[in-house]
Amino acid sequence: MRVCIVGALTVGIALTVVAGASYAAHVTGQVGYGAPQVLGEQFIKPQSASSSSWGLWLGLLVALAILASTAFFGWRRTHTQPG
Amino acid sequence: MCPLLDGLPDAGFSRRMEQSARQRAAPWVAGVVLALLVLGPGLAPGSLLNLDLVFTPTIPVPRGVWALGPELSRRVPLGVALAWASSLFSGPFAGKLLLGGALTIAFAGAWRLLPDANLPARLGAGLLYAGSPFTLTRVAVGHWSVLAAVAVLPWALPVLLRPGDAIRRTWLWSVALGATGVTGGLFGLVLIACGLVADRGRRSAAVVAVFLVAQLPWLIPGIFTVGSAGPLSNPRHYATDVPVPLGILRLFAGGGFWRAPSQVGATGAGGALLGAALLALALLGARHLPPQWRARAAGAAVVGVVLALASGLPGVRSLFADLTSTTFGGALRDSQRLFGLFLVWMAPAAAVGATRLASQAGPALQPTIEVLPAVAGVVLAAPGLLGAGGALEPATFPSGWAQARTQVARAQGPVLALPWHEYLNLDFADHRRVLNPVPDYFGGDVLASSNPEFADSPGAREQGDPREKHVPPLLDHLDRASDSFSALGVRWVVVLHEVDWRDYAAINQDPGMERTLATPALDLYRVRGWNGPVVDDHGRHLRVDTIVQPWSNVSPSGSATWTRPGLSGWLRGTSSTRSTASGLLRLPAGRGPVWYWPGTLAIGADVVVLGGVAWAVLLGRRRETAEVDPPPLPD
Repeated sequence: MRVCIVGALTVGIALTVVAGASYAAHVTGQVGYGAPQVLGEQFIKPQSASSSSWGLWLGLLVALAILASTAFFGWRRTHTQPG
Repeated sequence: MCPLLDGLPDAGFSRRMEQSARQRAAPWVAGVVLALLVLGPGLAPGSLLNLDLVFTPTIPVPRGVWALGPELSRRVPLGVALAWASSLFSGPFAGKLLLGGALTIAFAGAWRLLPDANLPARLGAGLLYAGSPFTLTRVAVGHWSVLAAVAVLPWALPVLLRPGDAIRRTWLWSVALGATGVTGGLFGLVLIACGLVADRGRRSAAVVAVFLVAQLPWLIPGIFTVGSAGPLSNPRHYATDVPVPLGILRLFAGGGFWRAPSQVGATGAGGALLGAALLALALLGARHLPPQWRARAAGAAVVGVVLALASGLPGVRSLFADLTSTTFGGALRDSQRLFGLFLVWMAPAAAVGATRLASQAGPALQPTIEVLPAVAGVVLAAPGLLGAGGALEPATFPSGWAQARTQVARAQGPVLALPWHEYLNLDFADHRRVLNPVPDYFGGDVLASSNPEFADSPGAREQGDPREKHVPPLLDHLDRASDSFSALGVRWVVVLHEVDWRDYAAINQDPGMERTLATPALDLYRVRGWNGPVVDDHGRHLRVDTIVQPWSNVSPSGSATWTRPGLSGWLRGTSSTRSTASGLLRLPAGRGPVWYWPGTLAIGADVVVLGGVAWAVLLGRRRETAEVDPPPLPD
């Protein structure tokens, strides 16, 4: 059970990272809610919104930094304990 | 080692005080950092425009504060404070302050729900809650009243789940939730109901009374504005986006917003897996939440997630759609909003669950497992960082808008907003799909479409303006529409150069229209034959002095017509008014002020609630003083 939860979290994080990378690289299509029938190209996320991909990478960097620091912290704990 | 992670050292009072202050400041600092990261480029000067996010340079006071339509009173009472703040600073600044403040308060509130937990758990709770895709999506699409309710929820939860313990605090937190509007009211209703059930009805009369009174500032305007709305769109369009089975799991990660392209994060198989894992962690940690509220919060969470799912799950969604098609059931439309009730339980429970899981692992893995909820929170929030998925990039209204507004302000009268779309792509906002900003930008009486244009609801009118249904037929012959505009009471027509605006070019051929402004961004037309604002049956213009929106003094006269929406509730003296065939306000012959009587109820409710808050705060201070300075013991 424990392994499943940790595994699901880990795989979920990894998949989200991969999906997030592709998410940031493409413009999402627009459907409905407005004036869809008379317009040509429509999109809800503007092409100039490059900040979203920077934000994504920033978040992933922070997540990796947290994981790396706690992994180091755990490693150091086991290697500095007396005995 | 992080000092926040450790217990208090025995190193003297001053150091303890210093650490205590640091501990108190930590969630606020972290919350501010999260808010700044989310707002990112949105902090630059300029208006924010994306779907329902419309922060114009000046945000008008919502008419809902007077219980006055025609728009539904979704913005009260918080929108009043926002409008006042926008006149003090600017609309965009006030709006950004609201978004950032709400994110910070939400983060600190979730952190505070785990007073005895370690730093990773509290950080995880804060991130999973305030940085949830659910929260960030609402930021991106401008549902700031939902965001405000999410911010207050974790602070109100411990009190409202034990509503009979301290009626004064129940009152204050009911007011706080009610101040955010209908979503906050629904959150409060579920919490109070769960608390009363758990308490087996202890002090139920007092609890129900204080809760209901606290909701009056949004409830009264809601009752009086929802009744006049036209046929609503098919509610299935607002159903939670939960395709079985992965969609259900993605909901637990904060996904499921009804308009899929606007969802920020929690997408794909990764989102579903994270949702499943967070749910499992939450179930593991639920037993270790603070005992005062853990079972009750679990009950509220179940109610929240069931309602959120009900609008989208096959089998029950038709029933739910029927419910939300009714006048008052419409409050439950977009039921994914109620996921907040689940999130406020799941975020701290999952964080505690990870701590429990870590305690059973080897020492090397413990710190990593403990921070997994925080890491999951960061990963889920990542698409929303630096501008909520690209939604928060400031736009500047072209100068033509200000010129048009100045002309309208000089000769005030109803404005017709064209193109006739409730939502339209705005060129100057990087083609974002935006709620037509003309009503907010111009303020006053603006006649705009309230039809979201879903294919299966062609006649939908989400507002109660009786003039609205008369506009679409006029758009087919704009070369001779000026007389009809005049009959509708329209004094100005603004044509934005957006989307299909060229279809409206025939308006230039109408001799009854005068183009007073032509800019690259918009054209402004004056209706030459406008006859208003108040004209009696002999064509005489009557003198009008408007004191406040729902109260005007009009000269004594015979029957007269006022070029404003003919909503029920208006009186002339004590005589009822009617609506003309074109939807204008028809005054009976007589004298006395023209006033909107539900406005007195709405303001009365505000006064009662504000007075009650002042009384409760004073009472609390007196009690504190009494505790600090106990009365002398008798001899």
